[in-house]
Amino acid sequence: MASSVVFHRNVALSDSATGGQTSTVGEPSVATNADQVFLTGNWYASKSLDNGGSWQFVDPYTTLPPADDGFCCDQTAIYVPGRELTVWLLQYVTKGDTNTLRIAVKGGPTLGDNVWHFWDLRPVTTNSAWAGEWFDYNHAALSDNFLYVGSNVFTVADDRWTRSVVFRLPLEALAGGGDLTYEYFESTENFSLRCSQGAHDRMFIVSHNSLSQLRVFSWPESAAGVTFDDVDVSAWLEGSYSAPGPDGRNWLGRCDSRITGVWIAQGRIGVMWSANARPPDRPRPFVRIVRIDEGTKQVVDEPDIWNSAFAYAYPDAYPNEGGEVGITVFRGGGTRHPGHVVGFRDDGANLWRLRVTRNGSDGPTDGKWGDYLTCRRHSPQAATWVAVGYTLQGGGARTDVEPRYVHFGRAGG
Amino acid sequence: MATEDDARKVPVKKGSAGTARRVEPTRRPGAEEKPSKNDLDARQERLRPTRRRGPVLEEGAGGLSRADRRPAEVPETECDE
Repeated sequence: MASSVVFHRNVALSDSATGGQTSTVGEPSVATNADQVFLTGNWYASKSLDNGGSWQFVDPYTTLPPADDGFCCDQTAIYVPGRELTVWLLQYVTKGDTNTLRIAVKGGPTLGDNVWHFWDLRPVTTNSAWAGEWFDYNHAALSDNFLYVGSNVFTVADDRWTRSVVFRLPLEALAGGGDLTYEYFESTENFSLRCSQGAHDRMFIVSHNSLSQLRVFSWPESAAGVTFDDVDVSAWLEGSYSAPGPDGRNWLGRCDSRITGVWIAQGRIGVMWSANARPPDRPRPFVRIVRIDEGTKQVVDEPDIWNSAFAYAYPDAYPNEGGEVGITVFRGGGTRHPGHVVGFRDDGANLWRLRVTRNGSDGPTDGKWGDYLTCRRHSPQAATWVAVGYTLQGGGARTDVEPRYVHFGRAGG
Repeated sequence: MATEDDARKVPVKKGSAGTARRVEPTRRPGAEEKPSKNDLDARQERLRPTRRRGPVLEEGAGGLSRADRRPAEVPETECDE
């Protein structure tokens, strides 16, 4: 039977495309502007000028000027349609009592050169009260007129979490390449604030309050203030995640419950995260999903992604122009090594339509995997999506990682 | 319908990242050196088995009962190969 998920592209990146600088904690991200694709991961970047037909390595260690103790990790890429901007976030290694979160931007279909302009954010220069702290685990989202960058903040001295922060940066200033002023808010109660994809005139940002409640922040473009509502959800579990594959390697040793995907479409805020097993209903770790009415802030439904034979984890999602939600996720455990999956929500059938892009041949030798995947709306084919993932091919070491770029849609769509 | 007045407010602050710096396509003096395979192997080794995390989540008050879930049961998610 033909799959409901159609691959327009499903290509692997070779060692020459990544410089061999791969990790089993792959953290891939992507920005697509028609045939020009910018793809990042640990610890490489790569660009294609021919829709993934060929790739050229871009070294995140040397392409931009150095900062702190050098490039670290946690890159994010996102393309801004309409403004024709490619945004590249890079995190740097702490030096002294702080580190840098760099926001690099280039305009138009110009991936053929390496011209970028960039700004550096540091905790201590954002707020002098944040001295001795550093940024970690960053992501990006868009509304009509702003780029949002979320990050967690820890103490340099002992890696204690202090706060999570969301920056709001004007796209016009990012395009202009001049002075950049921004707004931000922080939470010292809610860990890992996650911004919604698909926003227009209001950004929704979500975090956990407890194992049965979400906090939904709302930040209208037209307002300086942020407000929040608390939303009860069905109870779930966290703790130590485990999903050993046929080689006995637990690829979920680093997994936790932070929210990894939020979207806004069709009047609903969707929220997804990796939840721990809860037998007998959910015998393996799975993707917990809650959809919330944008107006009433009441739960509409909770269409989890789960399977009794293997785990699903590390989801990300993005709505297409019609409000249909595309996703990317890993699955594995039991008889399956970690594999990469994409798909979309078919509300008519009340199902997630999923398809494997590539099954892995091994689990990670050192048990390290994650920490995120990325799904985006394709530009300009806005009814379709792009996603990046990775698997291990031929071994369980970091050098066996095979990153993957996927452009997909729904059959007949 | 929840309103702006029903929701609780969070303060927003302003900051500046200064003026952008422009990067030219040629390699600049002082640019970081490309890491060796050994450097990257060591970096992989240093990756922690657990991530830096926030506070442990409590069970807490509230939460929907199973009966409140809509739909009450969600089918197992299949995946096309």
